[in-house]
Amino acid sequence: MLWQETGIMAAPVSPADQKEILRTLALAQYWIKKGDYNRAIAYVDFEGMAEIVMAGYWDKMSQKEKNDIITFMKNLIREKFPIITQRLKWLQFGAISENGNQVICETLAVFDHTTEKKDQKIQIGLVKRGNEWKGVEVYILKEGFLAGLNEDKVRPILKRGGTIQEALDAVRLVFQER
Amino acid sequence: MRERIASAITDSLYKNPGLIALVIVIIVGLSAWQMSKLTINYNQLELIPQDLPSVLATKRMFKLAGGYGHLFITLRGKDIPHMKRVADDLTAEIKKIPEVRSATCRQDVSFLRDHLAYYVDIDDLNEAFRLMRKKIRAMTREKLGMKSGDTETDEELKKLVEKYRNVNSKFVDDEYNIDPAREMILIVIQANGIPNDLGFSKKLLSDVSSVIEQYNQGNPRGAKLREKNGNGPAPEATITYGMTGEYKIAYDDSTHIRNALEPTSFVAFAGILIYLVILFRRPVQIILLMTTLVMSIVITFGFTRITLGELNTITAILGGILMGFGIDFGIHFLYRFRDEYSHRGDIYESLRQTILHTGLSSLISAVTSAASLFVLVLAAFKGFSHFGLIAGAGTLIIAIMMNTFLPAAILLLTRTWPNFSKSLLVNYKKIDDADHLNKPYPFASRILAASLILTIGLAYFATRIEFDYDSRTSVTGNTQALMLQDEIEKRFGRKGLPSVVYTDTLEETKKLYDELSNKDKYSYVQQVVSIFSLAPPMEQQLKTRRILDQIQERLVEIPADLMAGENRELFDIVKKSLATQPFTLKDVPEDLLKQFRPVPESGEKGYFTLIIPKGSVTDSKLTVEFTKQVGTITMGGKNYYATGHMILMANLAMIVIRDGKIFPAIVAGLILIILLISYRDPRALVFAIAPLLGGMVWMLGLMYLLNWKINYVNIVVFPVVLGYGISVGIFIFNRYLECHSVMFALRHTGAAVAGSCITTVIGWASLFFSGHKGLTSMGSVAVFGISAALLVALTVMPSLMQYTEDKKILIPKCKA
Repeated sequence: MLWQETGIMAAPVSPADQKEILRTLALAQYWIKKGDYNRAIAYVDFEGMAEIVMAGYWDKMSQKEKNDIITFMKNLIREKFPIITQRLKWLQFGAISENGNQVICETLAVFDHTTEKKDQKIQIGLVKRGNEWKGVEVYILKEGFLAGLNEDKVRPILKRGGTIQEALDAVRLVFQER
Repeated sequence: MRERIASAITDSLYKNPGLIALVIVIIVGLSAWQMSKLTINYNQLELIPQDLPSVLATKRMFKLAGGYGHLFITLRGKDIPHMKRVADDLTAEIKKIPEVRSATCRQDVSFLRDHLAYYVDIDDLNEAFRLMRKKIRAMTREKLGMKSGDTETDEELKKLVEKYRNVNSKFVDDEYNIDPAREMILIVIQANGIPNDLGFSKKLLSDVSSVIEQYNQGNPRGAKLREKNGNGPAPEATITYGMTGEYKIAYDDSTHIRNALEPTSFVAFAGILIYLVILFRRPVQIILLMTTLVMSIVITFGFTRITLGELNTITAILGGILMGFGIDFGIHFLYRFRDEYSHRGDIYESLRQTILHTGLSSLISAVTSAASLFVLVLAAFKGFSHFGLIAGAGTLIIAIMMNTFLPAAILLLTRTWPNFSKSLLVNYKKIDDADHLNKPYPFASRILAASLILTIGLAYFATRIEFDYDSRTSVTGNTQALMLQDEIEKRFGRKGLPSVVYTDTLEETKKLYDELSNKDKYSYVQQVVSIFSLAPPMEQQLKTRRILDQIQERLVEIPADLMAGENRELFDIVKKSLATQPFTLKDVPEDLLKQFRPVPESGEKGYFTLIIPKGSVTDSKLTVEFTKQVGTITMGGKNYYATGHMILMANLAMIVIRDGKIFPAIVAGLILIILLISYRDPRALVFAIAPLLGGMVWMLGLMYLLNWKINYVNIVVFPVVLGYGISVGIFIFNRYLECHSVMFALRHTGAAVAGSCITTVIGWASLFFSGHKGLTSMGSVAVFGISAALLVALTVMPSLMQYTEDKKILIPKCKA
């Protein structure tokens, strides 16, 4: 279960892991700034993201369904990453702590001040896959972005008997620009 | 024996008509003197047994709270600051009225507003937290340039906020009693009297109206007030005002009834007079009949003054009912006397025969009807018991007067005015010719079979008839005040009128609060408002605090510019409320606490607990169930009694329903016994009660088919219908016993029976013009019942007599 509330039961992370995490985040940021999103998303854990979005139903899904959703997430993020990050100027990484299955990195998102008035404190959630740390969630105002999609979109649809496809369509709709 | 009695009465009347008339006139004079002192007690509370715990508790509550019930003044307008200033001005003036104990249009709600979060259910608070988080997520997505796709959170949050805008019936975001739509301000008036005291209510309403009128004539605000009349604001008014509440509703209903009765009395009197002119065609005879009737009513009310001392809201209309019922004895007497005199030409023998036969029928009919009415004296509800006593006595008095004063007056007139004797002669040639043919009643067996099938069918429906518990649909109708009361309930989220329980100590109050908070046990209770609901239990407050801490932690992080417009306002209120800490009763301002305490003059130091029911007071089924749950609350071996308008109404409903079940059975038994004693032949019973049984069954069956129900008002008509059912049967049946010719009995009695019924039906039908639901339902039931009894008496009963005569079965003894 990757989805967790934040700010509770925070535990220290080893210096080695902290170093590795910061390296991962710095590299991801580097490729974003370069505009090479394909390399940037190499530091994203799509399986973890799919699990968060489908929380509550993930364990009941077949491997094929899981794979389909992982692919969906991959395509979606690949497609939308430039839009999501277009106003972002810089990420300033801070303290790192462990919270459940995730490691949380306190981050200040510095925006292009011609479009945004204020910078925003966020948290980036990471998980370790093999030897690599990968980003799995972004917390804004302590609300997990993907967990929010699960709670606001996916769960209500599946709860009323809707299909996984309907739920994914609703998720896709959120990513459309206003 | 009967012959001897009839001869003795006739002899007395024949020898001393002047003396008898004089004695009666003196009795009438004395009765008129007594009647002049008769008053109407409009206090409906006194109709309920005074030793009922709820009545005793209500009386105590009157002392403790200085009264009960409210008068509401509603002010509607578009300029809110203007409305508020006018509300303040009017409240200050209304407070000066002697009958007014308190008047308020606002209250300091800052404490409630600041501590709002502690009055919210834990579940609702968690829900609010969930919605808040959802809202944050939606706003974040929007901030990121995505579609939030969220349209419901705002609505759900709004609903939750609305739910808690009202804490213990106080709105927390405005100190004025203003509705959420910001369209109506309420001035709440508590008075020093009770709403059921209609005299007091009248004075209060008149004084408040005068204050508004004077203010309207000249005020510093330039306000133009117009009374609400129909929907929407009054033209040319800055403020449209209205009045409602228990005082207004109770007074309006009684006034409505009185006003409704005035035109109907005229219609009834005119209708009866026209019919009598058609029936008798002799003005002097009609005047004689009406004079005797009026004198009988005077004696009845004189009797009422001596025995009961006063009339009540129900017996006040008895004069009309008695006139309609009582004139029948006169119609029968005069009809038979003219019949006898036209055939015999001998005043003495005609009188003797009339007294012997019609007098006997009148006596049986009057005694049976009176006995069935007297049984009602045992009813707990004074509306019934007084009705029973007066109507029973009135029936006997009228029957006696029609067989004493009326013949005495006829004798005096025949002796002093020869033309009067001539006016008594009627051409009976056609009837006599028909009598000589001695034809049987036609189609007897067919009518009997058809009516039997019809009666069985209607009997099935009659058993399914229901009692209408909703007094508004069945009795009062939708008056302006009731509609305004509905509007207040809708606008301010108040449902029903609260009932109140008084406890002597704080410990008892706490126990009561905990007891009534058991929602499974008290399912008809919507809300309990106690001094303890102002300071929720500390355990609950601490739980609340923990959730508030979580919310607060989130809110701290939310940038101010994320919230805009209404959200920003709500955000500020919530933030302030979140900062408050748990509190105890000692922290609650005295101004809020005093509403739960007795008035200082009472010398008592206990506490009131308000119980708000789930529905309106007009839904009596709900009030009954609510009263069963909270009427008597037993805790630790001690009984606590709830009081209030709703409880009293429910007690009234329960008494009416209980009496309504018991008394028809007793009356039916009594009628059978009296008829058995009168005829000393069980076979005679079958015939004599046929119109009664048939009439009742047809009436109830047709009522069911027309979707009519029994209600509090039309139930009063049942004894009247019962009386007619007996009366019509007895007059026709007794005539039949004289000669054993069905057609003869019908020809000589049918017109009088029909005449007496039609005059009564006209009287009751006039209630259709009243425009009052209760009176209309009374009229409908009476018209249906009496018409059904008449129809049975003129068709089914003769068919039965003819059939049994032909088949030589069940033939009763001849008394000719």
